Amino acid sequence: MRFALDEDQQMVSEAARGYLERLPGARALLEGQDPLPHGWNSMVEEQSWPSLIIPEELEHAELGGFGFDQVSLSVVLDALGHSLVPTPMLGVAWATAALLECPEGPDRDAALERIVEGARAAVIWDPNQPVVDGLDAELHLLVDDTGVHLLLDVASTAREALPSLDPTRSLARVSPGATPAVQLGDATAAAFARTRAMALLAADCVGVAEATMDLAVDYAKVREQFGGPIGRFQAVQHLCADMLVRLECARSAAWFAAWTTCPVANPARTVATAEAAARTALATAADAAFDNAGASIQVHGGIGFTWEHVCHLYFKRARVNRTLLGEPRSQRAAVADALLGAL
Amino acid sequence: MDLAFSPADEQFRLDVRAWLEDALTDPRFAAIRGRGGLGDMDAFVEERKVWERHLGTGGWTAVGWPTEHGGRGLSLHQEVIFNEEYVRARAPGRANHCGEHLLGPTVIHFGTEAQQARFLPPILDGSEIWCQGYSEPGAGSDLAALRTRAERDPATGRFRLHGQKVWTSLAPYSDWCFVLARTNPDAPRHRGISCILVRMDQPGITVRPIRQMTGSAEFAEVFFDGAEAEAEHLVGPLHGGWKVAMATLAFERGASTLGQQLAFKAELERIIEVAKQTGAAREPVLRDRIAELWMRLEVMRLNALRTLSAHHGGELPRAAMVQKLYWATWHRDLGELAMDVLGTACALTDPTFEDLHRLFLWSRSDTIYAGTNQIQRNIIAQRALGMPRK
Repeated sequence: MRFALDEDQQMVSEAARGYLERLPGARALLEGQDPLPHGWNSMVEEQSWPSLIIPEELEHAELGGFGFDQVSLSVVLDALGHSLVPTPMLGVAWATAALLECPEGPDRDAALERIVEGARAAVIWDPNQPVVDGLDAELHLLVDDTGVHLLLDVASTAREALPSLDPTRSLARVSPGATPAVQLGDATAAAFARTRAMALLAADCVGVAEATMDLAVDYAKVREQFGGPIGRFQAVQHLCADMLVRLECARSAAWFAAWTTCPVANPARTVATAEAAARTALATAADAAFDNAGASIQVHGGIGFTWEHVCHLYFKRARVNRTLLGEPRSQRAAVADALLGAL
Repeated sequence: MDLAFSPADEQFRLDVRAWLEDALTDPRFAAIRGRGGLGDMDAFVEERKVWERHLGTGGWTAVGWPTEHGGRGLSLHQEVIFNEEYVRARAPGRANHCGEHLLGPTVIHFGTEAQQARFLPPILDGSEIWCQGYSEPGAGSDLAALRTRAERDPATGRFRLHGQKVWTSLAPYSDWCFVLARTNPDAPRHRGISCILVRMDQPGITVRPIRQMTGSAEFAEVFFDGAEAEAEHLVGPLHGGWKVAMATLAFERGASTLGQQLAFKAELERIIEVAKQTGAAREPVLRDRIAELWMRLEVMRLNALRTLSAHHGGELPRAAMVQKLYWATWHRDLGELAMDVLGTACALTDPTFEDLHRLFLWSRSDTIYAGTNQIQRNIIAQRALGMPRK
């Protein structure tokens, strides 16, 4: 029994955090600069994030990935939420996990190979809702109650950029309409794909919860009022202590969901166990991110309310994250159905 | 990550389960199954003392102590499993928690060989019950403010105690008390305290049970009015008791957290059953709270697993430092939920729901004892986050 990051997972995490720290990050967006001066492709070349959970060998393709379990991908999402560097990684990660839930085949493996090569991808969970990273995606998956579908003619799919409250997240309206599609996976594949996506989004929230806590604690140690740092006041300490409680809980839940929903890590998974873990993780982590981002603004005081400070970027990221795969209250409603029977 | 216990550990689980199941079919113990836990510690104490001896004959006391001191020398994982099975079997609440988990490890760590030979065997065989004399009316969260005096006779080294302790669990039933007392009133307050072992059955000690808001009396006040202790019953250095006391509180390895989580789970399941009967299970607001508490309980288990996995280093991981605050708050919220699920029925002390009323009332103490929620937040802020004390 060991519930901690393995050496590989730790290495991926440290590399991702180190790499992202050297980038201009979200602040560049506020200053009108390109937050990704070297582009997505150089990021893929340097960090290989899209390949992490793709098997080393694909039956119907030349290229393969690293064959890690999903925890290694989760720690990357965690680092991205922590840094706020805008990337199309959430769409890519969701699409990869969804494809891996489908049986091997030429279409699936070709799609995975394109992801290894750096293709941008997006998953449409609901055609009526904004699609994360949908505008520039070269691969589009439609995942609904019937299964996992790959859109075949992405170029002709109608899409339109949507004004995102969160400037670090690209949202689009994608209308598959009559775009031809091929079904790659069944309803069970779709159900598992959704739980894995929730686990990945939860990891992003954990990064937000940690970064906002660290910002608040660091600021409280240096900001002086009444003749000393405000961090010596219990009222401020208790705000920060509650942030740590939420962070640690969110991290435990997010790791567990990444592990539980991934068949490589947990061959004994069922849809019921995967859903329980994913819902718990997303509700816990989305609340932690939002509450910590809000508390961070509070600890910062007036400066935290300004456009120049990054506090509001985390706050907006946290708010939008809550909507993407179901609000925490919807997750709890689904858990209540499982515990108490549906209404 | 690997979330399964090893096959050897799972075999150990089956052995524990079989022993407990067999032992608890004994009519002497079947009657006290599920009794004597928190909120019920004053129930069937004499019967639980017999159970304590029975555990001792099976070698199931002090399972985490090293074998050279008579313990079972279990690994942390096996100790966790033992505690889980103990809860699952609804075995009686332990009468000698203080002896096994607080005093024993302290004597192993700080005691002389003579003290180990004198005090450890009766804990192992369940023949001597211990209580803890730390808190005082003027020293709760601020333990170092304690004023109980122990005057040392310079010729014999014997101690004579004057003062008052409070919140002493099971004091009326205990044979011994380990007392923190001031031995040097002139020294700075952390440096004038000693840890002294005091026999309870002697003149100069008065025990007065404290009846709590639950109606039961699990704690007591202990008055020392010239009670005596032997010179050789000083544990650790004279005036060096503060360090001993802090170490005592740190001996807990987290082995009980998963067992506690299982006990909490049984309470939540009971409330879910009641909610289905009362119709509360169809109220959206209560459904949301039930699901929320279910999720937080699951997170409690995961935090515990992380803590256990991080335990090879000396440093306490952050996930461990949040645990007391987290479970105490959860349990108090569960008590409030229990009443909301009962609805108007909560106004009556119906014996059918006695357990839920006890939960509701007892859980108000959870956020106070062993470090209040406020003290826990201070500790988290200052030790885990490095925020300034002054």
